[in-house]
Amino acid sequence: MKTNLKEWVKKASHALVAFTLATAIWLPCLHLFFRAPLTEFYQEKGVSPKARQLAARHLQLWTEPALRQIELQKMRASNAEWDFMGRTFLVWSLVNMGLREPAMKEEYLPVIDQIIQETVKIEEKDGIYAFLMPYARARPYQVSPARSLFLDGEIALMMGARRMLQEEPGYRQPMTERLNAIEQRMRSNPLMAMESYPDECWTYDEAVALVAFKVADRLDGTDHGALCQQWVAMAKEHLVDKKTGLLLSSYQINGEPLYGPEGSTIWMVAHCLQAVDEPFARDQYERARKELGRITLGFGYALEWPASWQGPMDVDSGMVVPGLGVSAGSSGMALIAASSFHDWNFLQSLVATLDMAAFPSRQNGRLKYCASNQVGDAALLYASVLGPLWESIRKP
Amino acid sequence: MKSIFGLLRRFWKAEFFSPSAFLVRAAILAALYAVSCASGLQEYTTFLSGTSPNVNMSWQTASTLGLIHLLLHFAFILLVPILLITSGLLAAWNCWKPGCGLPARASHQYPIQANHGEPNRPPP
Repeated sequence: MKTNLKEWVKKASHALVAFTLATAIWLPCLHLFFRAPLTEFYQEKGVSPKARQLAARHLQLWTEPALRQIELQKMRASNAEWDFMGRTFLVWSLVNMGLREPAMKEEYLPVIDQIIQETVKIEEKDGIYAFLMPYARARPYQVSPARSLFLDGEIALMMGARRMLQEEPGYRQPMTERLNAIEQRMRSNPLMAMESYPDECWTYDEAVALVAFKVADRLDGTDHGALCQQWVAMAKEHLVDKKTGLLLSSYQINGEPLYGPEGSTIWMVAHCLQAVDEPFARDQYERARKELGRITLGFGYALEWPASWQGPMDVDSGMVVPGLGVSAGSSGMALIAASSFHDWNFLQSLVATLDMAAFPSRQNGRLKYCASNQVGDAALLYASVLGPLWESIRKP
Repeated sequence: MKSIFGLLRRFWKAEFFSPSAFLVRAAILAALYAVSCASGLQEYTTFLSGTSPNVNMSWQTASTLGLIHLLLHFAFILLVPILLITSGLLAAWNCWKPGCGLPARASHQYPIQANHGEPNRPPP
């Protein structure tokens, strides 16, 4: 009996040593099976194969209404915002693709127009709440009439981006009206705070609105340069978290912080600020990369909150892996920022993670990530084609 | 056919820490993952993005299916290769451990001597 036990322990310890050794051999090799050349995902010129496949899937959704209805139903059951953001990311992506491949413009423009017109129609018919989460109705907006910067900024940028691809006079007036409304509100209080939700101001939406101003300046000869710089100066003074130097995600109209530096917000803010104030944008990106970006065993990911800030897992962060703090939302948005700031190593590692953990599914040349959703895939598409639109805004 | 079943039986009844046992575990996990993929459970992993995977199914049921696929996927890409490598290492150890792999006659009659470029020769 004693000999049996001794023999068993001996075999178990051999197995344990072999298992440990096998783990040490395999884990560092795993990323090699998922790390494809970066050109598969992002190319400085032209359109990458993955971008083309992602776009094909989205174009199919917009040409087959029944299919789109199913996708939208799934997303709206969780969050009506995603329906809206799925549209905006897709429009910005198609504009970038059109600028990359002018020959494809004719294919993209009808889809872009369909998205913009349908979105505006829904907003006109059902009001701003059609694209907001239900809690928006819980209390009134501080500034009346109720307007959401989330909608105004992104719709203005959709229209502006479309006009950057090819001028369409029909969009000029509605775009100008929205931007005038935003400017009026910005100038109406010292913090230039604009509500997206009642008494909630989001730096994400403010950064998008600033880009829309820049697009208008380029297209219509207006000059919002001073206004944008005023916002940047105000943000540096009032909206920066002292511990990390990162911009807060949201605050009340009186400047009281609501959410601290959140991964799902700051990556996009840094990307948008790149078109407004490049040095400040790069500073924000580098801080976010240090506080939130990680590469482990060749796989890149991003945290939702820096170590110095305790925040919840919510609809923006998506699923957060317990222990590691990996956030699906933040990691997805990190792809946009890494691509924007040409952080190739981080981008390649993030794409490796995407291919390892997001369940890519290809069918007839169309790609979707099963773990994602329509808005997630549209944001990934945007990360894989962004560049030309910002370049044309910044061109002297 | 009989020999295949015989081989499978031998693997199935393998000792808990033997190389064959680790192979069997890897094969079971791979088979379960294949079934999960064939059943289309990867579609349910959309719960990771906080999206309802199927509007006609309860969130809990759909998320459970997604979670099952997620666990099997990670088992397939992490555990299966580790189990295979473990099996290989153990098999190698069993082959090369002292006294193993030598013909019984040789080990009794002619003990192995250090090889210093000279081939082992039987004592005169």
